Amino acid sequence: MSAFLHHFRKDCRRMSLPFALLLLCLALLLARDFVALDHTTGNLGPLIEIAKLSTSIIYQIVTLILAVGVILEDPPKGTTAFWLTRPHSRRVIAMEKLCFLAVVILIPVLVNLVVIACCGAGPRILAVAAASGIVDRTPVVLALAAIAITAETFGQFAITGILILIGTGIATGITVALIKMHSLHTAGVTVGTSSAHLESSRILVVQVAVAVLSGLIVVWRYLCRHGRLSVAVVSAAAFASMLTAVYWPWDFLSRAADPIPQVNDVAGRFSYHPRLRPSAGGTDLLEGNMPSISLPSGEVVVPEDATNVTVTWPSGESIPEAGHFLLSPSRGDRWEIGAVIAAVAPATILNLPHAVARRGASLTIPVRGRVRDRLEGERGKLSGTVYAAIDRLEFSGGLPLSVGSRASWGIRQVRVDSIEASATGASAVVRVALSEGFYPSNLANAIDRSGRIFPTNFGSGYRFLGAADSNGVFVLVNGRRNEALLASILPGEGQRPDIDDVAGYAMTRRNLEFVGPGIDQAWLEGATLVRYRLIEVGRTTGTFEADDVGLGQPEF
Amino acid sequence: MNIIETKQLSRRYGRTEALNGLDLAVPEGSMFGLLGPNGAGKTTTIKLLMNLLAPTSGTARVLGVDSRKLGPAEMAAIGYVSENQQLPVWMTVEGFIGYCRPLYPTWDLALEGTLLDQFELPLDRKLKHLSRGMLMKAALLVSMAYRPRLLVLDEPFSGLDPLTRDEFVRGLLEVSTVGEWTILVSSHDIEEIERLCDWIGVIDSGRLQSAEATDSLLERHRRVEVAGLPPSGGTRVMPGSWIDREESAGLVRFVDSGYAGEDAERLYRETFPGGAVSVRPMALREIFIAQARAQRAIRKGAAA
Repeated sequence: MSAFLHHFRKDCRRMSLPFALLLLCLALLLARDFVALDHTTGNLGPLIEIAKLSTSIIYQIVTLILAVGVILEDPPKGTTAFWLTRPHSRRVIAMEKLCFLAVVILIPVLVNLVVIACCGAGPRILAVAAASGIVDRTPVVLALAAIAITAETFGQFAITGILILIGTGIATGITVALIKMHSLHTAGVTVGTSSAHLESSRILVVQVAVAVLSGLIVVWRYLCRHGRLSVAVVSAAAFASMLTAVYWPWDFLSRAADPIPQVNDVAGRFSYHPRLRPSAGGTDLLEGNMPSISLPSGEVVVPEDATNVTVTWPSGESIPEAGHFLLSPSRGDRWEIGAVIAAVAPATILNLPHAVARRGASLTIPVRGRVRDRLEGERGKLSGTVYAAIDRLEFSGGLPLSVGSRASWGIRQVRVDSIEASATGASAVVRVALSEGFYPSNLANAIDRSGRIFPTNFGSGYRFLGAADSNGVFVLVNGRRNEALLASILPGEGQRPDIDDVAGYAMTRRNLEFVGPGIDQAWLEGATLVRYRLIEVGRTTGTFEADDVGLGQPEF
Repeated sequence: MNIIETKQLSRRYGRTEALNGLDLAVPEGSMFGLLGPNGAGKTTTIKLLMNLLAPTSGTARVLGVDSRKLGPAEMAAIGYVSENQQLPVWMTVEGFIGYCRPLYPTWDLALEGTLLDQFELPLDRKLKHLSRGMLMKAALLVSMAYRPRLLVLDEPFSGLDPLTRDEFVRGLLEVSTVGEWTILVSSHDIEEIERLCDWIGVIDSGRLQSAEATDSLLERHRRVEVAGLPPSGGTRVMPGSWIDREESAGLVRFVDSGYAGEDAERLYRETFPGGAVSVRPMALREIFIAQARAQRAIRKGAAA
């Protein structure tokens, strides 16, 4: 034990500067998060975001330095390391290195847990958040250590890392090509097959496999000394992980047997930190005073990729000559009116004609100028295959419509900053400025899992998934009158009503506009702002054809 | 008793045979110098002995234990200093000594103090800011302060200026009187080895050419010069122990690697009748060079 502590202290001394930097980065990130929770950043927003982005990058670099540095301090590779000729037990060194790496993994997780606990999270959320943080961070740290184990210096580590990246990239390219060639996508609509769950299962398996394999490689390399075998195992493990990510067949995250949550079930799970409780006079969501909205809603098909796209002209000529682009709707646009209608039923949507939403994908086929000149005015036939996600709207929460009211669902917190209601004849315009904040850390993932909601971004690496997840749609519902208003897009915000105001990070500010007839103060007093979000429930493959297409105007 | 013993120890790097059937025995209590030109296999031998490399074939026993099974207990009785060793240069000298001290139950604080005084190491300076000589001294200190049974020095003089080298050797000689050490030192610095070692092993092309006590080695080597020889009708037949032979008109020079006093001198006179024979002792450097030349000639002959 004393030998273990002796080495541990030595490594801590060696890594004291990176450790200090790590803690500083965490402090800065958390400080920024807390600022984002309670204040509108105003003009300083972009600066704060740049600072946060820089801090995040430094944080990742420091993590790399810690994970790699502790191995390179006593590298098992080579014949020149000081420790190799000293009376060290290899087992003790291996355990000490693993413990050090565990500290590197756990410190940020523990800090996040403390913060989350301060925000009022319960033990279940804390437990899941801890597991989530560990599962997210462990494979990264241990994989870095496993690569470092094959090197004696940072330079060698960098070269090995680059080679593994290149190798993995090539292997991925080959795999993707094989998949496309053999059309492994299942034809036909596969609604309800929980592909999102399967995807998450695969990622989780990869994360666990990478963590376990990397840990074993580190221990094994310290205990015995087969360097070439280590490199082979690291490479094989990277390749196996990639294959697992693509082909893992078992969906163990699916909870098909679970009842689909009803609104009141969801509402019953709301919890507030005292600081975040809605202002007096608002509807207490804990009491379940919510409109009864049935779930699930209808599904939305969102094209994501297309292959075999061909336009054939009467002359027999085919394009594209330089590929094509399928511009998918952004996350913020991935909803359709029909789905919302189904979601808010039996309430009537009052402002259907005013609601604006861009739907579908646009296919762009670039052609060279001379081709365009030659084919201008010609009409041809278009065909191709499309891969699409099938999304469904899911209720995520609501809050009373009053300035300053706040609500949280999962990690998300929404605050109504201002309400402007102006009557213009038979209709009224209600503008609501929202600030959507978040709890720090990867809690989004944790909540997604603990909340039995599809983990659409499980393991995606977004640190602040809550704010980055902008696939929500807001509806103003008056439960007493069974009426609802869809949020429409304000001028100047383009076609992305949910776009973040600063760089897509952290705090999201939204200006929602509800335009509808017959809206008065009494209607607003009884209204609840309800948020839905899109979740992926399946994937589909289909073909498309159009008999009469022509080249559009050139774009510059 | 031998503290180091190797049997048919071999090591290959790909197609290159760095060590080829080495049979080496280092007597306990000796100061054994492993001499050899660059690429002879000295460092490979030491790395095999220290379990830094695995042998391709053959065995090595160090302190009576198979080198592949050297564990913390054996390492606590071995000191190792190498020019290539990666020391934790971010530590101060004091921190470095403090880090090593708890690793060795036999650490001798008094000896540590003696060595510190002798080496004049600046305690508060980081290792990375030390000169090469100082760095080697620091490495030597933490390899000696626990009175190891075996001290292995791999090219310790490399890159040291003459003054530092002299101090280093003197320091080694002084501390060698303090306890019962066995020192194995590999180098191609013949003068330092001659000053330091009482046993010499010469290694070349991965093979041990000779290994014996320094006195014996010096005693059995003589430079022989025969002048004023009348022209001979044919090639003279000379014993194989007469190496590094040079012949010119009326003059023959060679090194007798099996000099045996008057018997040998009688043989010279019989072989070269009418010539004036002069015999003189040789320095280790001369012996080493003569042997290296002889080996080269044998290799060339074999290749031809």
